Amino acid sequence: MFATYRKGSSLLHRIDPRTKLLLTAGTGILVYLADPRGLWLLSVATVLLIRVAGIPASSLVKGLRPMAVFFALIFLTHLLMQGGGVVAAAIPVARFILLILFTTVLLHTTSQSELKTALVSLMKPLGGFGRELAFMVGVAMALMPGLMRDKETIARAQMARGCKPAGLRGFVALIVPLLRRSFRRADELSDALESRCYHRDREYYYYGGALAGTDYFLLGGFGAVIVLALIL
Amino acid sequence: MIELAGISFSYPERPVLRDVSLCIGRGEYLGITGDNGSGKTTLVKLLNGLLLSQEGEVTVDGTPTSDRESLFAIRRSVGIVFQNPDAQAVGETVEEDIVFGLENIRVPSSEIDRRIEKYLGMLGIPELRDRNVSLLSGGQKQLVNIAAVMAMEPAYIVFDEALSMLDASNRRNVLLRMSELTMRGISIIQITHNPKDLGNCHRVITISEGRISGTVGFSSEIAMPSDSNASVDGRTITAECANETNEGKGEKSAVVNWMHNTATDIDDINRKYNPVDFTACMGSIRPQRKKGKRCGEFGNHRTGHVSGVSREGDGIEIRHLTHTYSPDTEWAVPALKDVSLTIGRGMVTGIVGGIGSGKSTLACLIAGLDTPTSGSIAIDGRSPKPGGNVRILFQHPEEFFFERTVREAVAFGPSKAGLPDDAVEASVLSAIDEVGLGRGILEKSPFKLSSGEQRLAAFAVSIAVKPEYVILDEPTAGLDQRSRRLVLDAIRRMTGGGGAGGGVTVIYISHQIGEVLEVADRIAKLSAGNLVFEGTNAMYRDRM
Repeated sequence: MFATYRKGSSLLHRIDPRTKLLLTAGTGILVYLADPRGLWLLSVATVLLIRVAGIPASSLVKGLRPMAVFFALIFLTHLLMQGGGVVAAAIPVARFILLILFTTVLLHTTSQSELKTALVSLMKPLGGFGRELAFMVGVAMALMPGLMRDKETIARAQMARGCKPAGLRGFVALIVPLLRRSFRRADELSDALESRCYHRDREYYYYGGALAGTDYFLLGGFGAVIVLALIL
Repeated sequence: MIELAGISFSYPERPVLRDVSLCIGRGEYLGITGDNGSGKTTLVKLLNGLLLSQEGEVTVDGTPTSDRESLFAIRRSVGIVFQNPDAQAVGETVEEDIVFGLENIRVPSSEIDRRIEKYLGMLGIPELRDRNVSLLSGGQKQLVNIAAVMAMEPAYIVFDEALSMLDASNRRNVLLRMSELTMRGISIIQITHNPKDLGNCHRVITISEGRISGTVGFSSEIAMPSDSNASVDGRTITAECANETNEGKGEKSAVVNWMHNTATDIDDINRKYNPVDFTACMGSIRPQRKKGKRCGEFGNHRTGHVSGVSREGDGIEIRHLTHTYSPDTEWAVPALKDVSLTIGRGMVTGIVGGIGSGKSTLACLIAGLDTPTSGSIAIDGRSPKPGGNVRILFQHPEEFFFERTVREAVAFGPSKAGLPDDAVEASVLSAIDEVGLGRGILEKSPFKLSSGEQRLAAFAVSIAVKPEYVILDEPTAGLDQRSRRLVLDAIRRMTGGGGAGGGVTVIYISHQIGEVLEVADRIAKLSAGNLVFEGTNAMYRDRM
């Protein structure tokens, strides 16, 4: 999920990030509204988008794999609690997968700064709060890959020491160094941010720009689809 | 000019800086050095108001850092590159990371473009512009951090151990760029343990126990202009700064000695790798260095007993080893390419090479933490497995402590192996002795030790289980010269080089070739995943 952005020049890369953000949110609504037939349509759309964005299948599988247990759980719950057969139980799983795939397309074609700029711009009506929220999201995203790697390194180091990653002892061996590192990392990052002149009223302009005609067309068209879906 | 007047600073439990006075002129290139924990990083954070001193005042171009209104202006003129390359990147891609600071100081978009190109080019990394920061190596990240701070074009740039992960050629380039900047009137303040990095400095101060314990200035050789603020040719220091020192000239010789000592025994080697010759700039102060003289016991005394490669089936046999990260994806990174190598028992094998050459990958494969893409590794005829008779110590191993006392940490392995209590105690004591720590340290918390002691304690943890092989990944990273000595000594003792105990086979991985050459019997050099040299220490020295 994280660190998936790759610079590219596909059609999807070129659409304004604000539009992409809104469209992804809209797709989320559609995914929940859609009936089985609608889900088929959306699946076709996903495959098309993935093709256009040029995302390799292996990275999609990699993104979905950790969720497998979760999917299985949803499937079983629906199958056992609500009846209705295998197909009915598969529908909520399909919804989740589609949602993740749409988000992957967004994250793959939109950089963190673009997203941040888009969030700031969309939250302008909220004032300073919107800016800070967008900034916090950005920082959290910047810290995440490092934390994941720390966890990996610590787990390996303890394994090399003969400390199995199981049980209370294994948990302590992982969590104590991880927490210490994370706090230190957060401290260091805040020093670095301050030293690079971060301030609350900073403006995001390098990745900005006005919405073009295509954006309004896309947003309008998509809005119409959602309205139709709501009515039908 | 940055002026520190009678600065004292303490954290709740301990005083860090005591009555420090210092002034840094425009265009000056100042080196700051000192042992771990001497207060260098605290000093850095005082320079741009990240910390405020309890006593005394820091002023930047006349504005005190305690003036919260002017903080933005102060931080704009004092840029800091910090030590840890993992905790400074704000953007997802390199470009975004540089844009962050430039947007903060409202540089126009077109100018942002120009600066990104200029500074990435200056540091020799224009191809990294669109790369994802989190996927870069430590050294590459350090270059990006440096570019991001330089691009903001501050009047003073502070480098806090910011070159530690760079390989020789990048380090050389950055040092050159620093000198160039001082020529243009920008002040450079460089903090480092590594005396050979300070060759171009106009002045070097040493901090110990929170005080400036010495100053080596080159002011006498520099023509002092009548206008004290002039810094036209970059080599001038404002007049009032030039001879300023806390303790007076009496301390000067001590600093020269300190540098002399630290420089001497790694000197011969360093000269070959570093054109910025540290001793050259000291020439006027220290008349003539006696060539070939070495400090105390640190001669190369291990040429005699090395026979080379050991018997068949004994030692580590690596055959046609190839390893690729994320194979079959667009991010596939080939880390090792068809490496064949034999590592003999009872000696120190140094694995050297630049950043990203595949050293750490090889280490993880030998330790059994990864399975190679193809090829084989046999350790005394068996395949590697984690927690077996090969122990690996990652960089900064002290960060992995989770026990309350050093005793608990060291005893963990032996007691897990099911040894009776008295045998556990015996292995704990012998491990502590072997690394050269005092036994008094056993009841202390591992987090309360000095960085050198922590490192040695981590060594003790790994040898307490009496492994046959120990892999040390950059064992001296982040340590001051004194602690480095202790670590190198411990390595010699572990292998039995010092006579006591030992018998462990050590694989020493580092990009600091000079240090490796001090203790290694054999050297293997990797470059871009290929084995480019394999032979004895003497052969390596001859060839280079």
